[in-house]
Amino acid sequence: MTDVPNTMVDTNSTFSPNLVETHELNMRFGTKQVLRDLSVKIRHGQTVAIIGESGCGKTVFLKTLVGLLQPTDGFVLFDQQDLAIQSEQDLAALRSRTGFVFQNSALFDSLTVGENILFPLMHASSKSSRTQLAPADQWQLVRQAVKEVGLPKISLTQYPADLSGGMRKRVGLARALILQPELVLYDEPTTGLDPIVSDIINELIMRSRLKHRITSILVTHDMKTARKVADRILMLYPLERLNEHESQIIFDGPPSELEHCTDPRVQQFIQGEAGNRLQELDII
Amino acid sequence: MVSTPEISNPSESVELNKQPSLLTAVVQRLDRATFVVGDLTLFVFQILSWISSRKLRRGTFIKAAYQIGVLSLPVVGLTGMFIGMVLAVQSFFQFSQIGMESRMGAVINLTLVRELGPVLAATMLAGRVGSAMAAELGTMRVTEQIDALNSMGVNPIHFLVVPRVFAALLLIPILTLMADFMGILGGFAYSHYILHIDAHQYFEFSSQYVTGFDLLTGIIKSLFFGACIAIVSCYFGFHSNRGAQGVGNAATAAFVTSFVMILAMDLIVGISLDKLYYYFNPAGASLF
Repeated sequence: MTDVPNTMVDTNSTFSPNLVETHELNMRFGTKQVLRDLSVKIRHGQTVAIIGESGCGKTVFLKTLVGLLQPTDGFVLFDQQDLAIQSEQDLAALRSRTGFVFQNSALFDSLTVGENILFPLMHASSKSSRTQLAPADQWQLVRQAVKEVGLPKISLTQYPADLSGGMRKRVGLARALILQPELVLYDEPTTGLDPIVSDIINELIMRSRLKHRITSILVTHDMKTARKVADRILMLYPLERLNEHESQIIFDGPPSELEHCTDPRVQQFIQGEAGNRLQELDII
Repeated sequence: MVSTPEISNPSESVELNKQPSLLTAVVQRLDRATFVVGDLTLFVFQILSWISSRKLRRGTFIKAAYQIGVLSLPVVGLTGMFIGMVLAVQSFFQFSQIGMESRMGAVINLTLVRELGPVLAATMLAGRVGSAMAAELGTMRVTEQIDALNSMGVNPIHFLVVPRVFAALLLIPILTLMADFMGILGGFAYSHYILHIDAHQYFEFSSQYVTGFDLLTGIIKSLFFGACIAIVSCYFGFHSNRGAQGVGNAATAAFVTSFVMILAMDLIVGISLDKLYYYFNPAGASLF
């Protein structure tokens, strides 16, 4: 899946099985390179988990997929449209076809839970059938979304600060799903949550995918989440540990192949063993 | 809107124990200052383009107007009143030496409407509202709320910055008038009730020396100050570095930069308006 096309993609083509494609994506912050020549194709309806060590560029990669960060080099196609050449309004319209669940939920703390979930309906650039609804019907959708993420008893007038981490994550998920997006991006959806709440989040991700046929990309360190939710796993490796011509993607395949992968770097990560890293840190 | 890369400050990655030479440090500072000036200019252009292309977000505007206007009125009024009194205290001794204490009102009121009213109102606004704006937007940046806006197809400059700039522009003249009014009241109260200066003479001389143009000068200056406070504060908040320290630094930088720019603009706009005044009215008589 990491093959690089030898011809440019025809952006006028009518249908492509891929919803998101990246081509030779590079990202540099100052002198530090974080992503190198990443070419990935993600099909409609696929759920992809991106795993890897902290600092290997997973979140940066996720943010470039919706244009929140602009790559230093290379390009991203969303539904065959190059994000880099879109006007501000077109980019906004494309983004409203996606949902983003942020690591710390990123709920607007000056708005109530209800207003947070309602926000995309009120302000999204795209004119979908949902954004055209009367306010009373939009609130009905909010109540339905809250129910779908398993928070039927939550008060919509509560503020995010009054909620637990798990509840905030679920409100973030409801906000991301309210516009019925085609693509949902999850940035570490289960980090900092207890195993039970983590599993609830995993189930919600799977249900939303089945119910709305959503394409999902999630960044996670949690191997249980990756194995349970994803049908494809991509593992990125930090560039400072790679030689110049090595691919940054060291694993790309279904979760079932992960155990049989012979790459020691992959095995070290999934086993969660520090190994020679302790010596590198001069701890031993 | 593409968010600023997280590693926006390359100096952070420099090893702590490696001290750069003085020349290197000066060059780095200059480089950083040039970058900020250029980036701030682009930020202003983005604000202008959103002002001209889309309608104002009413909800954010009303909240900002309440913060800037209503909540600042008491502190601006109080500051103005004390400054009027202080001016009366300080000028009385000098004026009484030459037997002209009845003319104190002219000096106090002229100083207030042309200089101290607008500058003090703006300084209070920069301290009370500017820092809060920078801290609020900085927190939104750090907690990815600005990214969340972007991800939903909502432009954060249009949504967060433009209403604040409008609110500051609209309300700072009113705050300035409030500071002027309370200063005049405070100066008069102290002069009349404590220093026993005749009220009629106090206001008679004031009306001879303080013209409508003086009041207008203060109001025009305040518009520049308001725009400067809102733009600078939003800029530093928008480009806040990560962590509590990053947000704190953004709030401090917003106040310090706004304050320096208020004083610089006070000089530049003051000179420009005076030149304009004498260009249209060489004799120097009152235009209003």
